[in-house]
Amino acid sequence: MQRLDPLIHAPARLQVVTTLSAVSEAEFVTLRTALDVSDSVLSKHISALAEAGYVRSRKSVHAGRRTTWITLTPAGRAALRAHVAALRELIADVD
Amino acid sequence: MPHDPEDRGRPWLQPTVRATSSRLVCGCPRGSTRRWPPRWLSRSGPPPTASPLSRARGSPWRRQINGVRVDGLTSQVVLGTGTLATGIYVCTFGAATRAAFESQWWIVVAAAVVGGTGYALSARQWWRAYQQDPVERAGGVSPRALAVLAAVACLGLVVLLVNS
Repeated sequence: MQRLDPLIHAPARLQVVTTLSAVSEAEFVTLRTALDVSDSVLSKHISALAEAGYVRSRKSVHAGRRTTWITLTPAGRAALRAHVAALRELIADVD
Repeated sequence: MPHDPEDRGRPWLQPTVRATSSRLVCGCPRGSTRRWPPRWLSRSGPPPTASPLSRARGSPWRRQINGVRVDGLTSQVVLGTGTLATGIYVCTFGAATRAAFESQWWIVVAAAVVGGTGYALSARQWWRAYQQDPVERAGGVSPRALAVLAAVACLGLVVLLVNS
């Protein structure tokens, strides 16, 4: 049986990686709105995921405004797939 | 849900997360998948073309448009790299070129219309597929690959101009 990934099992982090899995890149502010959390909370989650190599961030400037873009790395995508497979196994017998 | 003034008008975010999560875990779209892609993306067209538009329309619009980047949208819809778009484009371009050499101008017009329609249908096809399965369809040609292709295209144009 596949094991749940504790790093992305937390609801907020799971939301981050699932949101990123549907796009190529997402802006920090967009993620913050999606999760409905503060900048500092999201920043901590992103840092934890980045340390594990699951996400990558880059700074950018658009129309004079500094922006941060977050991308899900191939390792993060693989980790998400494995985690989802484990979840599916877990819920398979639940009505 | 939105509590920040600049985030108003983005009610699609939470449904997006729920839709993607349910799609991943359950293997089928459930719940609020109709809200993904967001309404603004549907209305405004692809991000690369929407960017100049956003400058003209002011800050709130710009904030909404630049929230995400989807490579699949750029390559499949804007550049028409899908199988259907490529096939129709090549066929109609060939037909139009041949008709132009033979001065059959009505065929050129018809080929242009068919080519454009096929291109639009291909974009629509990808869009629907993306709405059903955003995780699988989000990927596309990377910006680096696009830059290389653009450089090759410019090089080809220069060679054509020099040899003509």
